[in-house]
Amino acid sequence: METGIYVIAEHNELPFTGTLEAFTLARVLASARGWSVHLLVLGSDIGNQAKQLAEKTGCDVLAIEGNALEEYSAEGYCAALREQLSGMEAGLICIPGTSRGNEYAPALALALSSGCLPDVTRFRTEGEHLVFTRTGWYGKLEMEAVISSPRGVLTVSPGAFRFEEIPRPPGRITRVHSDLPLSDTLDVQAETSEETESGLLEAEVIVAGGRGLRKAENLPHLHDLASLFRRSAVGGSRPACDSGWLSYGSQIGFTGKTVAPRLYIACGISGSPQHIAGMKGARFVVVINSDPEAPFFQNADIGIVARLEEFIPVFVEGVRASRS
Amino acid sequence: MKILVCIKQVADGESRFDLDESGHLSLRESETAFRINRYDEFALEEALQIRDSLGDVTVEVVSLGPLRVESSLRRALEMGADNAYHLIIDTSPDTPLARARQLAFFAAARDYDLILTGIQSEDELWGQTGPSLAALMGWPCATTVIRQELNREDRTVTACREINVNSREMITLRLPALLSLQSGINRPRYPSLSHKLRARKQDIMRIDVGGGTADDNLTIKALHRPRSEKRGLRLEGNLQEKAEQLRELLRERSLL
Repeated sequence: METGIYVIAEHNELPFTGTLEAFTLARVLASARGWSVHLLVLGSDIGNQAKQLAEKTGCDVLAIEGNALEEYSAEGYCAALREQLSGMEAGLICIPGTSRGNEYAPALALALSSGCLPDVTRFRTEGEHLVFTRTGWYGKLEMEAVISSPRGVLTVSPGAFRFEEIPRPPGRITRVHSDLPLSDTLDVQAETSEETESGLLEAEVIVAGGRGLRKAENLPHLHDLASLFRRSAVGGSRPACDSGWLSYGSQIGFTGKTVAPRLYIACGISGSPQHIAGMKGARFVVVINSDPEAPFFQNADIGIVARLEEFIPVFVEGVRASRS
Repeated sequence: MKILVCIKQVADGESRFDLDESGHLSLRESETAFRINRYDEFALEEALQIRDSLGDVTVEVVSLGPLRVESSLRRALEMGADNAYHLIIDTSPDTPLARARQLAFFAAARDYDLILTGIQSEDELWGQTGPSLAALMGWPCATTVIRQELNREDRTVTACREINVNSREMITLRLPALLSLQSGINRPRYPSLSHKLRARKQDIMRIDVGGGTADDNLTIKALHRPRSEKRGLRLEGNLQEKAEQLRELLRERSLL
């Protein structure tokens, strides 16, 4: 098997957001290294998916089909990918940095004696080496890492690489059968639920709260602030929802909603990569946080270092006074 | 039934994360507040709830690190853990696989039925120690778990995994298994006074793990501050002045 980059498609993904972002990193890496890119799709009936991906990317697709792959399981993915990729002598495996991708990547890496680096956001070349960047330390610092094994496994941070279609003839599709039985995974069922209505997607102005709210009693401040704007809504980061201050339907971020309002006011949100992934499209961003080092300030148009429960009442009163 | 909960001690998010000249973190330990990684508190709470509802369950906690991690293990005992183990190492290895190797070495001969971890650590955000540990043990694992149900007779666990905002997955795994829990799965308890008093008398078992194991395949080179995506304007002055400036800036842009 040739040295190259193998992109593993997210299971049953439509549209192919995560897969195409992983492909985008792979395409840039490949042109830096002179490697080829291959897409691997796993499932039980995936002819259509393989065809669409081959057309969209112009990249050769290996469709791995098997009964045990109908639903995603880490065990099924690791077994099938190990079987297919064990002949790969060198190169990289790029996996979307989703809940599933980050679940099976470490086991796959171990099975292939490869280094594993999750949530890659950038890379650079340094002589012979590829140096990858990922975010850590509460989003306040980034780390650079090098995979020293000949084969490496990466997961690609959601939103870090935007896919752009380049017109190319469709790639070739090869279909293989993989019939490895599952032994420790007894049953998997996918469930989808209706998205809950929160008004966030239609709102032009979003006031969002995070852990910095500190207690439910501070929630009215967010509503007071939102009430100054027409077509506004209140949302929050995952910790605010986990604490029960806001419902999960109003969660903004990678595991919540993706929003793109005209104005986004973040109150007491540190700005984790998961949260930023859900609001990157906002056109104007105001960040209010008591921690001057909060990473969210890096993404702010206006930054205000203050406690939200002290700042918001002063601001609201000022606006109301100027209007009357 | 025996459950192991892996706990990481982290520096609080508002600590000063200074870097030395070679790009390594230099924490001023005496000025830093250390505590249990919040995600791991969800894991401990889930284990305690399993014990509360099933009975005849032993909940053990383990943490890897220097002496200071014992304050977090003590806190775990106060929350209600039965036993605490400290894998003593001066400097914790810097990759998830190397840490998982230490944990696997500890857990291998101890007959756990279930290992619980948090989804990730708040500080480094790797999210890999749990699944790496499962892979080293040869156990099945599920991550981003938002609900679980153990079936002692069948020796299985059914976990509901969060895939994204409107999709989930129900997966049934054979025990022993490892679950990495998503935040919000429960509300971690505050230790009661009686538990606090009891925890004072409990011993923390120390195991010296020496120099640690390396991860030969991944090298962390250096840390740096992120480059700013936007050159934001930082407002100065007292609250009143900041509020007035914000009002004007939003008005100029017809946002208010």
